[in-house]
Formats: sequence, structure tokens, C-alpha cells
Amino acid sequence: MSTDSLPTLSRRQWLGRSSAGFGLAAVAGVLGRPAAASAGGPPVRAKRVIFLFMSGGVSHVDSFDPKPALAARAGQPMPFPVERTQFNNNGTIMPTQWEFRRRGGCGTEISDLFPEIAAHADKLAVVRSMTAKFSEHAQGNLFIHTGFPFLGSPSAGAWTTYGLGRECDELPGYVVLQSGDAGPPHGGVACYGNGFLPADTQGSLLRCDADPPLRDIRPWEEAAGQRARLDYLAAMNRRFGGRAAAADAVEAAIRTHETAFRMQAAVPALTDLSAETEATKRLYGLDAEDKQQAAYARQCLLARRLAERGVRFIELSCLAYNIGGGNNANPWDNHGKLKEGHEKMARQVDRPIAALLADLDQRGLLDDTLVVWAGEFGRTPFSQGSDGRDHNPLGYSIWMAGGGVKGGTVLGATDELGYRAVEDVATLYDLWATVLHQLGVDHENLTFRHGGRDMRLTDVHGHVLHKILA
Amino acid sequence: MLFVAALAALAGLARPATMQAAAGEELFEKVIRPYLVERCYECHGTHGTRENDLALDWAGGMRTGGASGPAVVPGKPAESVIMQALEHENDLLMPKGGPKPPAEIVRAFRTWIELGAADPRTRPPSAEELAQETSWEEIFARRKNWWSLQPLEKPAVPPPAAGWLAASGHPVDRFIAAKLAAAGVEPAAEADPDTLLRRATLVLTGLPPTPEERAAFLADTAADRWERVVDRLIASPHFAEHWARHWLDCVRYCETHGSEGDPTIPHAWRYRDWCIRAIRDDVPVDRFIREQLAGDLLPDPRIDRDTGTNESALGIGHLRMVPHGFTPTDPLDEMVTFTDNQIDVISKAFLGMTVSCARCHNHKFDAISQADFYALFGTLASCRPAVIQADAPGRRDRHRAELATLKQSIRGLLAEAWLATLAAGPPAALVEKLIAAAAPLPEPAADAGSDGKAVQDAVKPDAVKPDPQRIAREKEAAAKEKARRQRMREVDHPFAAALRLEGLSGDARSRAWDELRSGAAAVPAAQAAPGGVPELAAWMQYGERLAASPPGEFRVEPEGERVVTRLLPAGIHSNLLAASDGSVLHSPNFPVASDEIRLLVAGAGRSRMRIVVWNYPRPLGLLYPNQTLANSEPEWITLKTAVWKGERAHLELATGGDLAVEAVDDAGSWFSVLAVDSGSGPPPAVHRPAASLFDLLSADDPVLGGPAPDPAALAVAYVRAARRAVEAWRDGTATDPQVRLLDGFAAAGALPCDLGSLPSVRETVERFRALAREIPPPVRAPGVIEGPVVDQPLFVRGNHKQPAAAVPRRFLEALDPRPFPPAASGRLELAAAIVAGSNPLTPRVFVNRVWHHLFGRGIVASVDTFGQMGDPPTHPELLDHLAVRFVSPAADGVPTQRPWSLKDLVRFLVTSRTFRLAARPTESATRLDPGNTLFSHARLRRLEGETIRDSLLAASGRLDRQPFGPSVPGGAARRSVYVAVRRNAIDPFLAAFDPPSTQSTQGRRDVSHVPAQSLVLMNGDFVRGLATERATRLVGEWRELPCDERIRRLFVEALAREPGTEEVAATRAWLDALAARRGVPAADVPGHVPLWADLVHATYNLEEFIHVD
Repeated sequence: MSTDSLPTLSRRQWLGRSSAGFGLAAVAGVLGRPAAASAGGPPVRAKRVIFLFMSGGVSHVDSFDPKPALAARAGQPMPFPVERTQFNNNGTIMPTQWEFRRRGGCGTEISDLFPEIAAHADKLAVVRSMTAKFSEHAQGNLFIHTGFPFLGSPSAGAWTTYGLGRECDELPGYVVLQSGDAGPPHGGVACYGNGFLPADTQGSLLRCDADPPLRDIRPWEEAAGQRARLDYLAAMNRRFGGRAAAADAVEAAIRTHETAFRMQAAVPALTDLSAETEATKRLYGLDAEDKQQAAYARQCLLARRLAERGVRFIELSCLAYNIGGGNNANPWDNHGKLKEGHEKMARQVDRPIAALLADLDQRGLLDDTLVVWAGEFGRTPFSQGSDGRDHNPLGYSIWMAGGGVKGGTVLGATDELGYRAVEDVATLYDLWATVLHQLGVDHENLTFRHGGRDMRLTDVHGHVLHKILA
Repeated sequence: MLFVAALAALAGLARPATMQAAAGEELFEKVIRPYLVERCYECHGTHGTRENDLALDWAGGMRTGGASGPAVVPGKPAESVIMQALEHENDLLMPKGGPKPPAEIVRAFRTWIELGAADPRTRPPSAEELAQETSWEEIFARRKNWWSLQPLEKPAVPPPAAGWLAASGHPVDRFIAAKLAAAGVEPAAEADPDTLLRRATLVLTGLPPTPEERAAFLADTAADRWERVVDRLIASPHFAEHWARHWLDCVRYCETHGSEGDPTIPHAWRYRDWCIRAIRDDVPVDRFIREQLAGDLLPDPRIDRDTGTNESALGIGHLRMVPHGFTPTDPLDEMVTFTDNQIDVISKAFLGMTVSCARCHNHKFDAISQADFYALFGTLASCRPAVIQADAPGRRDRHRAELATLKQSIRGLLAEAWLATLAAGPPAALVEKLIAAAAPLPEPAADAGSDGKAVQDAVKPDAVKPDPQRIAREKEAAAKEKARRQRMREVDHPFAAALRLEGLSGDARSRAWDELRSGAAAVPAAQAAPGGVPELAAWMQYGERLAASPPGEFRVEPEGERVVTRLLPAGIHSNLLAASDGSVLHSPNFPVASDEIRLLVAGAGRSRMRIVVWNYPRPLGLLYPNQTLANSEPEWITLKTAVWKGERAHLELATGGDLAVEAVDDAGSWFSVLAVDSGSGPPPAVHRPAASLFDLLSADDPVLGGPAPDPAALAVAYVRAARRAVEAWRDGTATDPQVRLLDGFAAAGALPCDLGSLPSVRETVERFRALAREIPPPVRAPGVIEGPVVDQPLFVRGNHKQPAAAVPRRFLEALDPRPFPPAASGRLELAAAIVAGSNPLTPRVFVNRVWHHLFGRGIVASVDTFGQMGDPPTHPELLDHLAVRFVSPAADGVPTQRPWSLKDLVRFLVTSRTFRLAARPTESATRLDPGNTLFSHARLRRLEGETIRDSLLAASGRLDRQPFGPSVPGGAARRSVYVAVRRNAIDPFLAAFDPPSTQSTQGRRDVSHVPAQSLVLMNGDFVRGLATERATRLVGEWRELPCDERIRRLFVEALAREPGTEEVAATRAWLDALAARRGVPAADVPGHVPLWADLVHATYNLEEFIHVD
């Protein structure tokens, strides 16, 4: 049966609560072998994930999903009934204002909104038939992150860290990067939460350009003093462990304190970019005039540095321009002034993301790093008011690159107007099933018994999107 | 458990072959077949998905097997794949997603195979046969045999035996000792006094013992010192705070709804305080539970005399602590989500059952059907989210009779004064005033009604930049004013005659008069046509007792010179006696059928009207139309409802403090509603029925039949009409047109309404106001109010777009299948069923929760899950003994204990020897029971984040012990139970230490060691600040004390024990080295605050500080 509530659950004991065979696999992961090697899971194609979360919802019909019919029907009402929208202020069909072109050798059509990412088209697997289940930000954000629309469930990053264990002892397994004014999306930090999984799987907020970058990371005493204090405390703790017959628990605590101690050095070393060449910094756009772009560039560069250090799941946060509804928590959310808003947002992330793809590739990291670009939903093909678009979870585009994904592919399609996914309809469950598959994990086997149920990142859904896998 | 007897009877003795076969058949029928049907047929059946090509529903299928080989090889368990699957030996973990089969089941299968796997199922079943065998009725009947659903029976207490524990007279010790003896495990010794005092103090109050409490305990040599310490701790107010926090975990206590905006649940903290007071007062737990389901409906509420609060009503607050989405486009889905959350919490917290698992299908493992889920759903969906009023009965009723009488007097006195005014004043001047009042504004504003530009220009000078909202407001106001003046000129307005005739003479005047006269008869009595929207007469109300008033009601202004502002037309009006009253007027449910719904309303003070779709309580945006009322004159206000056609909705009007979400306490909040209408086209006239001067005069009035009166004659006629109106108003017989006439006179200043002009009224008004002020504002709290009773249709496969037949509201069928009565939601009946003597779950679950908190692990370790997915009880007899004693102590021979008393239960358990065992296990315990499931020794436990924080505050002397009230930020020095629990912004310190879920019941905290905890304790400002404060005080207070003595005292403060000599030496050595590194001369050490802060801080960083053993 399920569990014994020992006062302190070691990682191994936590894993014991995992019901299915994956528990064994995960323990194997701790021991330094790839998780799937022992459990008959799918082959490991990726060791880590970089999640480029486009909070607020990018308009797919303006970026990765060309719809010439929008121009042909511009200004007309939608020819069929549409679902309720959040602002109930639907206008008429609104064509895109960006040119779509065939890109790379594969010829995938991508608009001029993302010219630099488009140059990497041969690396991208674009899913044009993604669907979400919620048309509001908070539920949508929690859903894309955790598989459930309310807080309390583990984030994909937590599941990944839980399932694969950590490769690096000095940094958290799941890091959420922020810079400048970026903040958590609607739904809050629960989007990065560990839910019912062990706390060491939760996303740690790392502010790339702040001092200290991580909460409470800066010691108030010099390293030697702190070392002496930790040694004193360790000795005292061991004495306590002997008295209370708690040697194991105390040793586990001491190890945790040591990890924290090392993190204090590792985190500043991570965020110190002095060893990066000027060329690299320029490549990412750290010198950009647009301060949001420069800030996002810093996140992208740090993402590479975290990938190099073996962090399992790295999530990036867009910054806002406060245009047409797109604010701090939902920067892409252009209910109005879509042209201006999307142009600025795209410029912010286009070059840094392109640089990240190029840099990972050049360093050989792209092979086993899975890059996922996605928002919580897309936007309507008809206008909201005169110049914006409302939320649309019924069909939108995401892309993946690296980590065993087949570059230069397109999966699925929306209808003629880009309103609803109609071919190879994919769900966000499928997205995570696919990500876990590339990490060598069968998503149906990654379970954790909680509240009388075996819980999964993919709930009771999800199919691996094999068509976009190499 | 049922299977055990069968197994025992059949246990593998050597038998002749025929007997073997017979035994195999019996075993098959008693154990194997039921298990196969229950657990295996669904996936491995002839007619279903046949996972792995395996059919287990007939003998041939079993023997042929599937892709992994033969499931059963008769006589050869080792070659039977089914054994590997049941034993979870390899990756075939069956049943999939379910619990590992109990050992006795696995044994039964092995025995059965060894006996030859007798199997009468010689052919595959037909679909009909299968359906019958796997019917819910069959499965349900079997599942009802689950141990936790069996009636409570009082097991015999094992006899005493040798040894400190086993010889104890305490029943708990006997049960524990008996199991230990049977397992050959030696219990630990008794813990030392320091450990015991710290354990008891932390476990009972969540705070460490103070040095004074420790000294007193150690100095006490009386035989009953332990019992007296326990009594002291249970009586401490901090006991209630700590144990309330445990309960808050069970109901996912939080103060916001989460999601975008994370809106506050108004007054959520009152539920937390209710919980603390209930535990402080040792409210019997059955009552405690009843109040959480139906405290607002109980006929005998508990009253807090000090605060005038209906305590019982506060208990339902947790029903509001559901998550709510932000502007969901599918509100029925949202409703299912939040009702599901209520059911999840209720069933887990009180019953240890996961009823929520049966939303889409019958429960996979327990005796809970999908119908059970929707039976509970109906009860909860028959209620509406609300701010409730939890006043002690009568609290807000005082003075009301006298206020009503005084108001009648005011009416009489006003009438008298007005009649005098009408008799004395020059009529012409009156009419001039009326005309002036009707047309006071300059024209430009009127133009803005059609063209916003004029307004935009007009507001530019005093606006830095154009504010679109402001421009819109101005535009709207201008349009309203234009419309108002237009209406006044219309024929059905009492002042139309005066306005139309003004400035006219001769023929023109005659023509206008004739038009008016003929028009008077032609005006139809415009009526609102509800058209699918429930008529006002059918609406329900909550709070202040509202009633439809005849024309002429009024509100006495609560302060100032003005006595009355408006005379009110016929309608439903809030706040007619007291400005502090709060009310909700809400319609029955109806399917939205029209593009628009209009209400003829007035209101002020953030009162709001809105349409509520599927009970979604947040009034948001364009999708959920709502309007804050800020018009003192009734107007038609339209809600655009086209988007909700076909959805279930209701309409609501509420005063500001009584909005379920976004409540605004505004003592001046009120509303009036006259009509509701869903018709299209132009709205009916605001004033009903239409009337004019011609209707206001007596039929034989000379002016009626004559030529157009000159201004003086017209004025006199108006005065005659007004006099008639005042008299009718005084006598309570005024019509709406008469009231409008008077209201117009009053608004124009033609009838005095200010105290200065009404000396005869002053005394009565002041008396009225004084009394009205003594009516306190309602005690507002989160809760639900009874709405229309709804039997919920079952949703096929949980799909809310596929409703099936309605399920009558009732409790779980396995415990009490009787339907609830039709007249109310059924919360009272649900509460009664949960605590009924026939329900064994509630006492078992509750005493197990208490045991868990006292001993660190439940007798059922999975404290929230008493179903098949949970853990079995390690000591079922002890659990039942405790449960029986808990609910009926007298029957148990302990009349001194009160039924359902938490405090008596805690006292009983803590005074056992088992509680006093040391944490160091014996050799046999380490060897035979490493998990300590037999409770041979005390468990080392990490403290909850709240207790760590409180311990830091207490040890540093900073703890602010003030109880109760609105929540505080984490930086405050109050106990953690008072720190705000905002879903999207959990206090960072508490967040580091495995805080409870705010999403669902969590009766057992997780415990993890993560670097974030080390960092917050080592580097965080909160801990560092407390250490520095303590150090600052101690270098002064302990100036004379040597360093070693200070170290000793700091250990006592932090750990409630003396340090050993070596510990003092090690600490001293570290301190000295630190001083040397910092360059602090030895002589300066005693007064060096940073150095001592380091030392204090170090004691807070010890593992011992955050653990209890």
C-alpha cells in the first residue's frame, strides 16, 4: 500500500511512493544512470528541457500558421458560430500584417514577425494544431505547466526533475529565469510549483540580473566564517542525531546544508558572464538598445550556461511593454494594438532565441537539449475591438527543436481561418507526453500517488507526437 | 477482510485429491472470482479492450493467457504470470493504477493454483452474463465489506503483562504493548523530563516551553506533575491555535480564490478564528462538524455574547475556499470544478473518502458510485456563494419596532409641515421653483449626448490628458440629464403641464392645454414584461428583511441637515430603517433566453446588480455583466446577456458589503428595484403607472374642465394636487404619481426637507438617528446561502455537456441512502448523516487524525484516505477502541470524559505511557520494525513551518501573543496561524517548509529537506533579524553573566534543555574563534552584539531546533 509517513522522507523514500515501475527508474537516475536505462522506457534523446514560455498567448495566424483566407475575408464576420471569448467583444476577420515566407531547406512558412528564428526553420518542428482547454490566463498557465487548471499540481519542470533526478548538485534541477521586470504569469508561482512532489523539485526563481539572483542566496558573513559555522553546526547536529537516534535524518540535513553552501558560490559563478566573449554576448543581443530585449538575451545566455551545468529544466520569462493588454504577467496578451505589441514582443525574443539555438547547436548541446516554445493559447483570427485579438485555445502553434525532434517539420493544421485545429489535433498533454518520451520516460509510468490517486503530468490523457520525432 | 475467514478455513493442509478440488472450488467462489470480477474483468475481458490479449473472465482465457504467457498454470504458481502480476515482482504491476493486492489475496491465488486452479467458467461469458456479474450492484455489495465501513465495535483491552508499558493501566499502552509482544519487539524506555516537556509543549501548543515553564516542571516532584502539565497545556490558548492549524490543513484553508487577480475571499479569517474558538471551548466534534456544513441553519446556534456573533454560522466558511477562474468562458465547467473541490474536501476531511474520484465513473476501488458524487453535488449546488451575516439572533433587531414607529411619526410630522407650507406659500413661487428645477443645465452638455467631442473638449482644460473613462462618464451623465428633462416634458409626467405651458399665452397656451388634456387619457399604463426572467415577486432575499413597499416609502438620512432625500415609488427597497443593513435580493434560476435583461433600479454606496451564470461569483468584465449602482433616481439598466443564452443563471442585487467576491464595506450602501424585464425594444416608462396633473386632481376640480389656466391658476391647481398627495401620503394611500409629484416638489425645494425648516421634526429625527446608529453593522463572514433546490443530473463520463437523469440529493449510499427532503438544500441532513452513530468513518477518521498529530504517524498512515487506496490500520482494535470511547465514553465506562471531546481525547492519549516513550529504539525494534509502525518508540519529527516560525519568535522573545482578527503579513510577530494565506503569495518563510496544499485536504504534512530551507534559516532576513534583536537585549540583560552561562541559557531558550559540558566547550571554542577572526578583543566579546547575534542565530540553525523527538 502506499506509504509510511516517516518524519523525514529521503528522496529514495519519496520515490518509493511512486506507484509504478518508474520509481525504480527514478532511483536508478539518482544513482547516476539514465532513468530509462533500467525500466524499459523509450530511448533517451534529451537530457534537459529549455522551455521558452510565451506568456499571454502569441497570435499563431501572425507567426507560424499562414492563413491567406484572412486577407480574402478581411472585415467579414466569421462564417460560422464561434465559442465565447473572454472579452465578448468580437470584431470581424482580421488579416495578418506580416508577410509569411518559406524558410530554410524545409520551406516551412513562418512570418516576418520572427525573422531570426525563421532562419533556423530546419531545426524546428512546428505543431500547428496545438489545443489548450482554457481561454483564460491563470487556468491556461497552470494547465500548460502542470496539466491541471488550478494550483497544487506539480509543474512539468518538477515532474522532469523528479523523474530524472539532478545531474548537478550545486544548482536546483528546475530553474525559472527572470530578468528586468519579468514576473510570474497569472496563476502565480504555482505554475512552477512542486505540488505534491518533493520540495526539491520545485522551480527556483533565478533573477539573472539581480543581486542576489536567488532568494536568500547571499550569506551575511565571509565564506570562511560560514564554513566554520557549518562545521560547528554539523558537529552539534551529529551529537543530536546520536541522541535522538536520528543519524540518517541528520546526515541528510547536513548534506542539504552543504548543498546550500555550495549553491552560494555556484549561483554567482553562474550569473557572472565575464568569461563569455563579446561576440557571444552580441550574438544573443545583450547589447541591444531595447532593454527588454537585452534582458531576455541575458536569460537565453544563462539558459545555455544552465544547460551546460546539467540543470534539467530551464524556463524563461518574457518581459512586457504594457501595450494593448500585454502586461507583466501576460506580456503577449495584445487584446488591442496587436501590431505594435507583437512587433515589440517578437523583437525582444527573436534574436536571443535564435542565438540560443545557434549557440546550443555549435556547442553540441542541441542534440540532447529539447527546446520548447509555446504559450498557453493562441489568438482569435477575428479582431477584438478594432486592432487586437482575443484568446483562442482551440488551435494554435508551438514549436520544438533539438533533443531528437525532427527539424524542418510541420504537424497538423487549423481550419482555413486558423480558428480551430482540424488535422492531427494535438493537446498540451501530447506536448508533455512527447517531452517526457524524449527524456526517456513513458508519461503513463511517471506517476505519484496522492490523495488516493495515481497522479500524472498528463492526467489520463496524452499521446506521443511521433510524427515530429527523428 | 471478508476473505480472511475463507482463507483460514481453507489453509493448506494436505488433503485427498477430491477434497483438494472441492477446496479449490470453494476458494475460487469465495475469493478468486470476486477479485477477478472486481479488479481484472474491466481490462482483461472477452468483450472489452482485452489488454495484452488476455481474457481473465473464463478458464480458457486464463490458461491460454496473453502476450506474456499463460496467466494460470494449474498446480504451478511459479509459472503462472498472474502471480508475478499480483506480487508486483516485475513490471506487471496489477491491478493497474490500483493498490498492491493484500497479502491474503495473493496467498489465496497461490493456494488456489496449487490446488489445481479449479475454475467452473468453462466458456467465455456472454455480454449479458458479464454485465450482470460486473454490475455496480454486485461490486457495490462486495465493496461495502471494506473494513472502514464496518460498524464500530468495542474490542476488549488486552490484559496487562510484565514491563513498564505492558503493565500500564492505560488501555492505549495495553493495545500497543500487546502488538509489540506479539512481534517480539521491546519498547523503548521512558524519555527524560526535558524531552517530555518539550515534546508535549510543542505537540500540544506548537510553541517551545519557556525557561520558566521548564524550571517549574523540573522542580515539581508531585506524582501527578505530568497530568498537570498536560492539563495546563490543553487549557492554554495556544493549544487551540495549534490544533486549529491542523484542522485548517484538512479544509485547505486560504483567504483568496487564486487564479488571475487572486481575489480575496471576504472575511475568510473569521473561519480561522471560529476554528480556534471552537477548539478553545472544546465544542464537541460532532457539533464542530455539523457547523461546518450547516452552522447557519442550526436551530440552536452557539452565540458569542462578547461579539454578538452567531458562532455556528461561521463554520461554513470553508465552503467558499474553492478556487475560482478568471472570466471562464464555460461557467458550468467552472461550477463543476469548484463544487467538485467542495465535495473533495468534505469527503476527505470528515470521512477519509475520495468521493471526488467518482465524478466521471463509479469509484475504481471504493463503494462510492458516480451517483453518490452527484447526490452530494446537488446539495452544494442548491446553495449560492455569499457573504453571510452571522449575527446573534436579535442583535440587529433591537430598536426596529421603535424605529418603525418613529418613522411613522416623522411621516406625520413632515406631512403636517408640508401641508402648512402649501397653505402658506405663494403658489406661483412654488411653480417657478419646479420649472427651474426641471431645466437648470446649460445646453452644451445635452449636445454631448450625441457627440462625445463636445464633452471631450469641455473636460480638456482640467484634465492633463484625455481620460477615456472619464469622457465616457461625462457623456453618459449628459445623456441621462437630457433624457430626464425630456421625460419631464412628456405628457405622463406630473410637471408636464407646468413645463409645456411655461411662457405660452393665448391660442398657443390653449392648444397646449388641450393636447395635454387629450393626451392624459391616451397614455397607456406601461408595464414591464418579465418575458422569461423570474418576476420580482418570486425573488429570494438574504440579510435585511425586504418586502415590496407601496408608494411613498423613504429613507431617513442618517446624518446631516437633510431629513429625507427621496420619496420612493412602489418597489423593493433596502435600508429603509438602518443604513448599516445589508441585503441580497436574488432571483430563482432561469435559462437565459434573451439578448438583454433590464432592471429598473436605483442604488448607491457600491451596491451592485449582476447576472450570475452557474453560480460563478466573480463579477468580471464584459462577459459577466454587472453594474455598480450610483443612481438615486430609478433607471432602467441593461445587462447584455446574448452570450449566455441557454445557460442557467440568476439575477442578484446586493449591498456593497454583501457581494460574494469584491465585497466593499460601505455603510451607505443601498438599492431599490422596481421592475425586471427581458423584452427587447424601448424600455417601458420609468414611472408606473403614467399620470399627469389631470390624474392628480379630484375629478371635480374646476381647472380640469375649464380653459387653459393662467400661471397663477395653474400654480394653485398644482398646490391642490400636492395637498391631496400629502394627505394621501400621510395616510399611506398615496399612488406612485402622487409620490412622484411630492418627490418633485421636495427635490425642487418647494417642500422643505431640511431640519432647519422643520423645527417640529427635529427631535423625532434625532431620536430616530440615534437609535438607528445603535444598530451595528452585520457580522459578515464567508459562506453560502440557500438557493433554489436542484437535484443534479449525473454527467455522463463526467462530461458536463452530457447531463443524464437527475440524482436526488442524499448522503453516500453505502452509509445512508435516504434522499433529503425536497424543501431545502439538504446541508442539515448531510451534516446529520456525517455525524450519525451509524457512520463509523467519521469517528475513526477523526481520532486517527489526532493520533497522527500526537504520535507522528496515524494508526491509518494515510490519514485522509480510509478507502482501498489508503493504508490499512496497524492497530485496528486500538483505533476502534478510541473511536468508541470518543463518541460514547459513558458506554465505555468513562463517564468523566465528554462525548466527542477533542481535549479529553488528547488528554487521554498524552497521559499514556506510549506517548512518553523515548525516541531511541531498542535493538529488537530496529531489527524487526524499522518503520516503527508498532509505536515502540517516539518518532523524530520535523516541525511544521508554522511551528518553526513560532518557535523562532518565542525563543527570541519577540512573539506577539495577541489572538484573533484579520490576517497579518509574515513579517509581523504574531503566531503563524494569523499570517495571511493568499493562494498566489504564500509567505516565503512558510513556503520553504512544505506548506499545506491550499487546493485540497492535507491532513499529513510532507517533510522534505531542501537547500531553500537551509538558505532561509542561514541567510534569511527574518531569522537574522530575530537573532540580532535577541543579542541586542542579552548583552544588556546578561551583562554580568560569563559567556558560558550565557551559552547555557541560550540553549535553554532555544532547545529547552541544558547543554552538556562538551557542547558548551565546543560552542565557546567556536565563539572565540569567531571573535578572533573578526578581530574582536576578548574583553569586548561580552558586549559585542554581532558576535552574540551569530551565536543566537547558530542555536536557531541547529537541527534540534526544528525537530521534536
